[in-house]
Amino acid sequence: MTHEEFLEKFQDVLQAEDPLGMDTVLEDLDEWDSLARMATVAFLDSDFGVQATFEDFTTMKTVADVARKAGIAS
Amino acid sequence: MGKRVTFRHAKVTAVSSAYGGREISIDDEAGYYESREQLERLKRTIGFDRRWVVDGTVTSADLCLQAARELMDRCALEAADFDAVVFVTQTPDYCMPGNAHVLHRALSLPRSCIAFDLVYGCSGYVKGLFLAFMLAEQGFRRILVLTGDTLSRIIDVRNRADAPVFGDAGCATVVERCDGESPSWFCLYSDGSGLETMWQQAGAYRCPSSEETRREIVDEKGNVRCRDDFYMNGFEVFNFTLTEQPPLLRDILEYSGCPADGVDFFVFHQANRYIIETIVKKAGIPLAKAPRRTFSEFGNQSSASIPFTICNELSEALEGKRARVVLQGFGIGLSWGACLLDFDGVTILEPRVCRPEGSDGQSDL
Repeated sequence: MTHEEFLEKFQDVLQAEDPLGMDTVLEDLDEWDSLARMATVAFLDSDFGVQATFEDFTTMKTVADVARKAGIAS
Repeated sequence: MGKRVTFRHAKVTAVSSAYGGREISIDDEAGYYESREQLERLKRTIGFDRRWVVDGTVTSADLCLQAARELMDRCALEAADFDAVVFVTQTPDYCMPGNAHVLHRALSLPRSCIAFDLVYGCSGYVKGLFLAFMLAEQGFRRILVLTGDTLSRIIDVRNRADAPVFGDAGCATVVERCDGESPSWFCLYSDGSGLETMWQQAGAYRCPSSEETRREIVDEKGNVRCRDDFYMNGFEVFNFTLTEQPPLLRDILEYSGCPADGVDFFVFHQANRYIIETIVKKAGIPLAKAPRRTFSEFGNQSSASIPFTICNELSEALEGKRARVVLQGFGIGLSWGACLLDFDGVTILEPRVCRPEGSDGQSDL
């Protein structure tokens, strides 16, 4: 998956209004609530086979961090 | 791998449901949310809409008693027809004895009808059926399985992580021994390491209720609860569901030797609509085979949610007909399990609102 595809899919997962960038800070998004975290867990699992933990969500600060967790090289 | 068990001489013959008499719409609680947009997003994704909870002092026993009486009336069954009663609840009438004996008295069941209590939540229907099928396999002719909870009574309405999720209901199911061959398959799991993922910590003997346990705790999002209340770590529960439920579904299909397209309905515990859709998507089964309206119409009803969904969404499709169903429950404990059953001419009653009897509308239990 390319960076562009990832950004597009992740925006859809978060139901975010504005396009995302790799440097977008998650906490700055209006949509970044507990529901968005659940959707992110499901996205990482279904599209990348990656299991995210509660701790991961304290260390992931930007969209690039989520991409790295998904195994997409930065 | 969990525990796999096959039965040959037991079947479900009737199901009925009763629900709490007070309707709450999430739209009437908009004041608890940051914005209309946030609420709409929760409604759209999770499926929040309406829930029905009990009023005042109505209990799980009241709900299940009504469901049991309706079922016995409809099926022309008498107290003497039952060899056992199994009650699955976490919100009993008394600290002791359990609700099975409360219903044993209320229904005037005979001394030869043996009462069993199980303490389970969202996985409780499958585990209650397992016990009933085991008894039937051993020669018990007819078993009454009662499942229900009143979680709304142990959640503060200002706790928005949990309050909008749960509805109150009680269901009755009849399991009968059949002398002919009627195979059924169960896969069961338990994991006590998840004890604190969902629990009601205080109020029993390890941590008795006290001024300290009743003190309000306000979390960073403003949710209010105390240690006497029900608690759920939503993130961990979702993770558990996503990790364990799709493999359990594969497990039951593989064990029974029945391919997914040989199953007519997959009835999941109605945790919320998003969770059901996530499991279905990951398991690759058609969404149309997984009923999921019940959460939006009544809320998550703990151990009652699976039989309630059968009554609420599948009565037309299943009543009097042959169908193969997978029932799958998962939750507190942690505990999860699935069974694959053949429904053949099962009597299914429409859900009815619970109206406790007695002169003043109070329970006569």
